[in-house]
Amino acid sequence: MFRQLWKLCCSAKATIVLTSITTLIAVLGSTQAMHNPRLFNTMDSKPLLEWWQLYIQQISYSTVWIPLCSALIGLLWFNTLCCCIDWLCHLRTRWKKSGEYLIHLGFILVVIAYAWGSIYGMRSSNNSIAAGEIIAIPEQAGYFLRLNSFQPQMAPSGRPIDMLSNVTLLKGDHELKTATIRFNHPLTYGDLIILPGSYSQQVVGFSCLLNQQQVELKPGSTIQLSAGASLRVVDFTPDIQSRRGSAGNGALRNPAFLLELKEASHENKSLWYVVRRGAPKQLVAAGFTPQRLAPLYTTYSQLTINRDPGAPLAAAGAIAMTLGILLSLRSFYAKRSRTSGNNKLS
Amino acid sequence: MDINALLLNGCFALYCLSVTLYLAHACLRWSKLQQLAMGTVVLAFSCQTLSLGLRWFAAGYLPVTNLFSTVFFFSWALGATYLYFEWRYRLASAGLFVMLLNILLLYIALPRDPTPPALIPMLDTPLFTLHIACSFLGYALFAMAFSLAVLYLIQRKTAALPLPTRNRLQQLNEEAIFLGFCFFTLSMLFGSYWAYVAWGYYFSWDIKALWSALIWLYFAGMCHAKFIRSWQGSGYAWLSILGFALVLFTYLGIGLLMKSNHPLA
Ligand code: HEM
Repeated sequence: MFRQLWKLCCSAKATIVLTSITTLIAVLGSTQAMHNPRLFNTMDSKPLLEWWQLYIQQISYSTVWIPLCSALIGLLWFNTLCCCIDWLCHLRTRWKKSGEYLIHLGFILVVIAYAWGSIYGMRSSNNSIAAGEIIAIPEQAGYFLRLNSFQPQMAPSGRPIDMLSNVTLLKGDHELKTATIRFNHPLTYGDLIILPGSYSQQVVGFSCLLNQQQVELKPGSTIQLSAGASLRVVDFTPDIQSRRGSAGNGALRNPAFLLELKEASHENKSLWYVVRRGAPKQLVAAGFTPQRLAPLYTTYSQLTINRDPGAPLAAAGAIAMTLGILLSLRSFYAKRSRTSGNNKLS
Repeated sequence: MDINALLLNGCFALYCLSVTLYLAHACLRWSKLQQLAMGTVVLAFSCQTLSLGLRWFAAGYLPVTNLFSTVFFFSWALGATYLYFEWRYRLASAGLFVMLLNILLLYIALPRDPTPPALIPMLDTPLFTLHIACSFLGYALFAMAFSLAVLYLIQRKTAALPLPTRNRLQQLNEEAIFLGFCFFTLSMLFGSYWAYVAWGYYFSWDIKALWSALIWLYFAGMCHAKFIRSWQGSGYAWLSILGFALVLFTYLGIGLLMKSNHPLA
């Protein structure tokens, strides 16, 4: 009984049936992607399990093939594992097949790696960061990323073709790694990978002429006004409406500053200065009469930050498979030359 | 006419001539004709290799970034595959089908613009060259397996062609599938590593990447079919034909019918 069960688990017929059925179901299922591109195009944005949980409400018969194929791959994985164990049990007589079994081992490792990454991985795109800024690495407490410099590369047509971001990965205050990342050259640290995604330019404030002097109005700057008063820029928004509730996208619509006015004889006062409406009376009275306003832009690098704890195991699987391919090619031809003395057909 | 156009048209004309010679050999059975046909294929392949080399040198990268160059490279890989089998096993008229397929590919490629576009930084990596080269070598070997499978199925029904025995055809088909699988595995590994450094994940659910993984799985299954008696013979031949249909659809059909984000869709 146990022997028969083991034979079934190690059966090559089961391998052919499982690979054929998986292919058939996935081929038919994936053509559904044509009918629901909005759903399927999001599949690469998250690890598989997170994607599944996120879109579970939208999941209909058109996605049933995904868990079905996953289950079939699971069975194939078990089938391959049993075959490898069986081979190991007969290693003394079958060692010449090491190449073939390295391919099998590679498959076993890659499946575990993918499942691991799909469950415990993290993917985050469009992490906006300007030069000099530091952002926290998502879902990785204590880790931060600093953008030291950013340089887009343009084609002669003016189209951006690459983006060079010099970044430093930090753990608390401690610098872990610094690298210049661009296409095909990410920063990797353990299972973390940081890549260029895209870039954008955003308005961070305005420059203006104040009492014949050029000044910059952006968060953090302080301007000396007449009669000992000063004005600190607390905040800036490119669209006051979106700040008050409706969603904004960073586009310059109705820009406004939150300013703090400091006068020697008065308490500090916070005021909104909506650029289109002009400066409020209290600010004008204190000598704030800005002219010739021009937006100040800052370039943001938009980085992709992913974490895949299965990646090192997948690399081990890939190495096993490559070695396996080379060894099994050798044993294939050795066998051919043993079994057919004369290769010629005619 | 510049040297490239001369080489391109020259190799097409020579492949056509080789098919004519193979056909003449099939009818007349003069062994000289077969040798002549083989010599013509070698000459055609040399022109094609020179043309590929010149275009590679001029572009500074393996030119496989547009439809012309991928079809041309596919045809070159098919020529190499055919010569390998011919050199090892003296395939004789069994080569007819492969050469016909090759002519068809060149016929599709030649009217298109052969100028390679400027290489975008995304594709500027040796992983790209390795991924594409292994992938098309795999495709060519699957095409070879397809031709051998068709010959296997018609072998008994036709006396017109001097074909190898069915056993031999089956054995060659198994070799083509195994070699194709090896190259395709390497292509998948290089492609996955490239995807990891370019996008941060090594498996994409993009339709072209998914179908490539399915082709790999399918041919992995086929590598085992030869160990099972009931799957040998006609069954194996039909599986090879179905496998090549999958390959063709992944290479051409997806680009035409579906929307893919794959860099070369
Ligand atoms: C997707 C997973 C698998 C892959 C990629 C794979 C790949 C391969 C390859 C490339 C060969 C060499 C074929 C040849 O020599 O032409 C092979 C042989 C073999 N595989 Fe698999 N295989 C897989 C799963 C399995 C499973 C589940 C079994 C268990 C039944 C199995 C059993 C065998 C056996 C017995 C051989 C023959 C070894 C020999 O020549 O003695 N394989 N496999």
